[in-house]
Amino acid sequence: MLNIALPKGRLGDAAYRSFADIGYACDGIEEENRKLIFEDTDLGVRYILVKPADVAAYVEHGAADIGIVGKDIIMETEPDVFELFDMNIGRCFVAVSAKNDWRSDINRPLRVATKYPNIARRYYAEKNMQIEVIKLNGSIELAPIVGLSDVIVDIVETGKTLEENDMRVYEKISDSSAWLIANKSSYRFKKERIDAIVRALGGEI
Amino acid sequence: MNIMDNFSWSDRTVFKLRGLYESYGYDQYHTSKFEPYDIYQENRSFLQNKTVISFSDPYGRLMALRPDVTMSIVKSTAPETDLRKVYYVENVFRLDKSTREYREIEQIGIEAIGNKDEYLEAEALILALKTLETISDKYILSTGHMGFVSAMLDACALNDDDNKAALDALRNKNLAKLRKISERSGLSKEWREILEETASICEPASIGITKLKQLSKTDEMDKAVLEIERSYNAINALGYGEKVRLDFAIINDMDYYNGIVLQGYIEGIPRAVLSGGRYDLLMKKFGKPQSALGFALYLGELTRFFTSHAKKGIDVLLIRGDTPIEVALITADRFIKEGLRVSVEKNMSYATDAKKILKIKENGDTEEYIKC
Repeated sequence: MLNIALPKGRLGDAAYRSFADIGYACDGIEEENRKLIFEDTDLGVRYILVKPADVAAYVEHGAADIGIVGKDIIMETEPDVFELFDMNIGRCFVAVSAKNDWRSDINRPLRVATKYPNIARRYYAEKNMQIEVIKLNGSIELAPIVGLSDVIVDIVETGKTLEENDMRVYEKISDSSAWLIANKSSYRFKKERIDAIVRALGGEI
Repeated sequence: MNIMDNFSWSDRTVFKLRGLYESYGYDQYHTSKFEPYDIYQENRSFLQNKTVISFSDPYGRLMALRPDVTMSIVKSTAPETDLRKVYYVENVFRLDKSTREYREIEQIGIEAIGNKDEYLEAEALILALKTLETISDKYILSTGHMGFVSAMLDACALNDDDNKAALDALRNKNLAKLRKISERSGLSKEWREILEETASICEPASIGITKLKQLSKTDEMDKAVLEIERSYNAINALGYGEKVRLDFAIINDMDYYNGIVLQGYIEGIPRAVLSGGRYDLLMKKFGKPQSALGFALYLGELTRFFTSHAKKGIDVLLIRGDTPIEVALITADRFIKEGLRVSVEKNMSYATDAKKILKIKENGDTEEYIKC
């Protein structure tokens, strides 16, 4: 049995369709329901639907053999997994954004609101800048508007949300897209099968 | 019944492995849990996990709770020693990266220190295989070679940042990242392909070596391939060839490791349970002229996956009531000699999981206990 962790939501839906296209379809997964596990014993495949930020943890700890996860999550959590293939879906980028009229103040540490405290710390450490990280779990754009932070570090897809909130991108940190990752032990025992999936999806290995 | 059966799975494993290492002429090494902090401070990158638990001793010296055993063995080896083969069963103290909590981890491992000797290397690999075999028959020993990797990267002449990034990409089999590095460093097509082909090697050693030979372009790389082949042939002669993989995702720190590196995997366990390699460069840093290699098995990792080997119940519960304690002791002894697991209690305990409950009579005989 091959266990595949997919992120719940749009990215997971797109990833599932890629798997379905190469012969790994599984009944019921695209229906509206609250089930979290879908299994096809004939194909020998089991899909586990988890929160996008948790996919890497499921794979690293072996609850799933492979998974689909955003590069942003990989950069943030640095899981010990194989990063086998860039699926080229869910393209976006991680960036520093702030209000349109924002001016930097070098006399005090920069206050950064983010879902990605590790990415933010690393980025500013490289620039030798002192920051104060405020970890938030959603609606990051709100932080500069209500004076909670000076800037935000977050993913940007179309930039529409920023625009609607009178904000813009100041610095791009890194590109992000969905990657196929594998548990380092599972890969060694199920190499043929996982390699075949990567190749079918268009990857080289 | 074997007295060993009363021990937990991990205790039995430790006994078996100690027996294995003893039979190959390895001596047990004991060490203190406390060590001066400075040796870890200076060689922090040798430790996979950089956080060391430190405290002051009564004289104000900064001490550490040992995060690793290899370094204390290296430090205690006299430079003139010709051959030192030791094994250890010790706990090490580390910070768990994901939970941010301190953990005490039981390790059992070996170190072989001496003049560089092909025999020692093959022997250590065989011991690694036999160690894994003790745990499960579904295992793989993945081996790489830091000499090959560093010769390959030297030939690519990447800058420091790209060198580090290339090592990470090899470790995570990230071919796309390797390609990016090759492109921005202006590597030739030939070397770009060598890097990527090497990264994707993860095959039975016999096939992997054939592939590796085609990728080897410098004398240093050739030397590494020869070393791998020689050890592999020896292992194969003992019938373990199928269990060995060549895998260049096994990357240890290049400042310390220079030859063969290894990781052991058990099916169903998500992380490597065994890891090690040849670390002549660590020896050099400590001013020791010898060559050395070793590995450790992480018992803590395993215990969690062998819960079915949980503690056994009591075979016989003896109710002693008012019988004199010497009579009770003698009676219990009689059952213990039969190889049974015995518990003596004054009165019947109702929470017992004992298979048999007997009452001790005045004269030391037993009779069936009848519940009132």
